[in-house]
Amino acid sequence: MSDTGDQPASRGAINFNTVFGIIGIVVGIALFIITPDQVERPRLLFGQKPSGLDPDFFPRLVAILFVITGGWLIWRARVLVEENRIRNLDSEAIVNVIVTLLGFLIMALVMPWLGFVISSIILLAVLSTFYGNRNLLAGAAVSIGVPLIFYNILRVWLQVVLPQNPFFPNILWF
Amino acid sequence: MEVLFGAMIEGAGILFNPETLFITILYMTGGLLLGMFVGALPGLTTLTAMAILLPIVFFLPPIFGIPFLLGIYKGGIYGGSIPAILVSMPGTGAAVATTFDGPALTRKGKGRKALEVALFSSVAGDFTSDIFTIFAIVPIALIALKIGPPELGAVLFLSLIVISATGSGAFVKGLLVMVLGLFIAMIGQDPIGALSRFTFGVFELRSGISLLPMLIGLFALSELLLNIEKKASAYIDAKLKVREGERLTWAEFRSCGRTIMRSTVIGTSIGIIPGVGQVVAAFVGYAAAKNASKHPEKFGKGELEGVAAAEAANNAVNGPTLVPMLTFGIPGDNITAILLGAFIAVGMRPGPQLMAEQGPQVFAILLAMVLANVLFLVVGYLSIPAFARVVRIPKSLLMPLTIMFAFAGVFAVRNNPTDLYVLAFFGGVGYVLRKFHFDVAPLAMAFILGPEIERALSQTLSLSKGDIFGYIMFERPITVVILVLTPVIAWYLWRRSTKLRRESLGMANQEE
Repeated sequence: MSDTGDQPASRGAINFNTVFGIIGIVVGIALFIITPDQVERPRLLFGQKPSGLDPDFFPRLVAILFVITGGWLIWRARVLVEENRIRNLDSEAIVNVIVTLLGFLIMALVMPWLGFVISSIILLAVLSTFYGNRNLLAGAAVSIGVPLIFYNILRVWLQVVLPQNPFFPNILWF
Repeated sequence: MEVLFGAMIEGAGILFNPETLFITILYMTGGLLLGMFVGALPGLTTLTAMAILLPIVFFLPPIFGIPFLLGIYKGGIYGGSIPAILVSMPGTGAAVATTFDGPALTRKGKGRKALEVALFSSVAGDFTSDIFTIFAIVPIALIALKIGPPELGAVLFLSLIVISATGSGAFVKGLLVMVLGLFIAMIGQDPIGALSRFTFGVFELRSGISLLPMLIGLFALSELLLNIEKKASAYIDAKLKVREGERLTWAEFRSCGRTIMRSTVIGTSIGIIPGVGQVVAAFVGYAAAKNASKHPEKFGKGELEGVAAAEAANNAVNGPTLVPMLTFGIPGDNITAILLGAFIAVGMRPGPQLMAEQGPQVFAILLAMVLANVLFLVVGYLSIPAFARVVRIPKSLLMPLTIMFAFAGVFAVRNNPTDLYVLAFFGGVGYVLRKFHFDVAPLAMAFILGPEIERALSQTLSLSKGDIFGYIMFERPITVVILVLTPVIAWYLWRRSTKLRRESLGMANQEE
């Protein structure tokens, strides 16, 4: 089927689609090989295997599909015309995306330990400033106010407790 | 048939129960306001709002939770038209066609008029298509009830292929991410014998990848990463005077009647096709209105019919997308994938048995959709001036808030810190895939439908007693027909959706 891409960037040459095709094939082969080790065997009932699907069948089918679609993509990659939008990112975009991804990771890491309110205040204050907010009053009001209100709405209204602050365990609203 | 009509009447009883009706209305109104708020913000999509607010549904009874999400859905699609009309920035993809005439009307001092015609057309399109959905679901549910594991497996397989074919990227790339979704769905336990597989010795993977963090990461956080590539202190600086603007007259609305009806039919037809969606419907509706008009030259220069055509068409998609989801458990697009997650969360598993087992609840929800349109009209009309101001909220504050809501929502559901890493991981994966022109919808669909296909395949094997070929060939002719037709249907829908998408793109470029 024909291409749906945007700009001529890589016709005929090895391009990112070729790489994704190769990755698909490699993953398919690896999956096929590791399936016996990674799939638990069913217990025998009165010395007989349970009827129905062999536990290896579906994983192996998926592995084969990886190889077929990977191969098809390599073949299609010769004529697919698509812009490499990762390579064309400018430095501002790269920095913004990396900082935001780090924000995700740090939030995942610290939320269970620092509690929802404290970690959210830090996240909101740092990222809003980084994204360009220069209105300190609005920034502070949103960074402190929204997590506190949201935390307590969930706690009181839905009886859902997000991680609490470890420093003042007796203060339930914080 | 009588059973289903009985279920419909029982569903009306559930919805209009005096003890719960007021709370349902409150949740729907909340959903509509939230949807309009998010839709009015360029960069935050309806899908993002639904993904982030999905965890709230987990703690609510179905009759409150699902209408709340449906409210967000309806409000969000309309909300996207507000910045599209006022400042030529579509709040959602579905509102791109609205930018052809909306901003021109605003420049003429008719912004309020345009917002009102968008609201009334949206409600008209949505209301009509919801009524269609309720009546279409009955015969389709009856067919669904008669199918067994082989037919269900074939239908699910067909739907995965169709979703890959009609996605936004190349077909083969849709297939590759679909296979990736099937693999991710295998991690944890197999759906038949609960045997452990692909855990790689990691204890946390034994229960598998949770659906919610995957959906929120894949759709909401990846969208946010795409938006944050360019910093902007504020979305809009324009001074908007909507409150004082001219109002829509009855005669003007009546003059758009034919266009609204045409667009509603177009939107409803497109809504049934999985993966095509609101964007294409809006463009096709607009093009049809322009072609049918006696004054096509006025289109693009501030024609009320242009706004009405796009808005009626994109909102008419909302109802019919639920038909394949509720009857076969097939989510036709990203938004219905989120809705499917919500149904599962509240203990209603969409599929052939849903209507038989929980028919009254399903009809209560469908009737709530119709009721939501009435609320939509009132809430939308009263809140137009307020939402016109929303477009000026700074992006620098909204983006971090979105991240916070996403993390809070994911943690609230299972109190499992691992889910936070899954969320962050799929946020990154979704971003990279989308940058490389992969549509992430087939991945999510395969993740949801993979275990169902595996279960249907296993049951078919058991039924066949070892001779699967003979069993399917001679005892299950419908399965054979579906399997044979799969490549034909996929090819036809792929051709059609690619053509429609190209036409939409060409039209958007032309208008620019």
